[in-house]
Amino acid sequence: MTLRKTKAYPQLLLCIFIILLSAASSFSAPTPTDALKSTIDKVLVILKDETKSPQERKAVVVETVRERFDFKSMSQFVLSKNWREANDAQRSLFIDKFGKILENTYAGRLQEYSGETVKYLDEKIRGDKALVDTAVATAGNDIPISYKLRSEGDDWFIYDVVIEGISLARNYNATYNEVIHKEGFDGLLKLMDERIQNGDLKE
Amino acid sequence: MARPTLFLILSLSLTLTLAGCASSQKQTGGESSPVYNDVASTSPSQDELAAAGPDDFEDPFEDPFEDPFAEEGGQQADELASISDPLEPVNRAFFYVNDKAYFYVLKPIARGWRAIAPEPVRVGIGNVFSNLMGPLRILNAILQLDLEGAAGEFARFTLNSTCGLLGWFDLASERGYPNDKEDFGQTLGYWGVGTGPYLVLPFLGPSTLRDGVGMVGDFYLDPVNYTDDELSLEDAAIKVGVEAINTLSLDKDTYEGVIKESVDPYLFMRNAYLQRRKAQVMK
Repeated sequence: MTLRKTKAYPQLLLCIFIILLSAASSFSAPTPTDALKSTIDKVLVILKDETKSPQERKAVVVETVRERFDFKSMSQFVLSKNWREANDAQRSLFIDKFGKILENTYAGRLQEYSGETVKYLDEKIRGDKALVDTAVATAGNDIPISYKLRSEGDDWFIYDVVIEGISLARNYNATYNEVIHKEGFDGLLKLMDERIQNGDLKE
Repeated sequence: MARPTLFLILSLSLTLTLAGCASSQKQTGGESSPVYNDVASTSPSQDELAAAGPDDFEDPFEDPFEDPFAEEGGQQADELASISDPLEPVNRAFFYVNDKAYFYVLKPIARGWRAIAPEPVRVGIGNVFSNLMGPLRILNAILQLDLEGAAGEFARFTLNSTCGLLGWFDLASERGYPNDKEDFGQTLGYWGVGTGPYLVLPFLGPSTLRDGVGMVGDFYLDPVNYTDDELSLEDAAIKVGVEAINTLSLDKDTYEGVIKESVDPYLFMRNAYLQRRKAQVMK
């Protein structure tokens, strides 16, 4: 009897240890997919919330999405060589305007949401960067969307979104650098201002 | 009387609406397939220049072997030079025309179509069009030595053509046979043919010399173009127009919502087209 007890004891300990371990790990750093999913889930809940007006929904969505984006990395990626050549004031102006443009362009589109679901397909991590493949299931088809994230602290932040093979950051990179090439950095900032005003007018 | 009038209206509007392809190239409707496991397809690597990337921010998913210390590369200048767009002034002119045709002709018709036809009908029609190109996709998968892809497209085509009622229902996608969207332009790319200069075709939208040549092959293998028993440009024009309208009716204003908002819609579209084609070729 006592013999059996002592035999069972280490196993019990092990059991408790494993339970504690798994509990502990659930508090540890989120995976890139976890991080992304938490934001997308929040956004979907807001979009489905009929008690809020479209404007309210949009404001909360923008706030939620902003928290998950790394606009500085994104701006650096978008401007590449021109980022190095820009001074601090230009950089922060750019980050500011770029965030505003993304917001104007994409937040409005969320109003089109009509119950699409998101599937999480794959995750790859290389160094401090991660790639999460998802697909948005719409009525007609699945739209592949991949998110590129960068770790900071023990959380992950998006620096690029790739829709059907088209990287947004790369697209802005090509467009903006050509504008800078032709019209200079301040010319780009001016053009961005015009876009932002246009977007604001539409609301 | 009724028939010629109808035909006149139809052909007139459809010719104009071909412009829809200017936008439908990058629309989400029509025939899209999820990318399930291949990272390379969403993040092609270094070789092609069209979408060559930023040189400062290290992005491991574009180029895993990139040297993070290669800071002062002249890559940016190269990138600008490497996008072959010698016809830019002409392209911009056609882009302008297509843009106007989109807003004033195509879009209103697509809106009308959306109003009268329920969504499942529009999805079904899109599926039928897509299914008709099945044999072409099988052939192109074979030409790219992708036997697995060819088998998948074959399974897809047989299943959707039979149980899916001539393609109306896309049963295959649900069963793991997504539409791989192969075409001759991609086959040429697979065998190393460069994109050549970027082109904006009147009414057909963004393309490249290579993809334009590929479209000729696609045209010869599209069964719809043989509706009158022989190959006919007229059938092709009508088909492109109808498909564009249907695709647009399922789209949520991507063009006016996203592309028009860009600081330079022409550059945005050019880059998006080249990136997308590159991703499709790499797949």
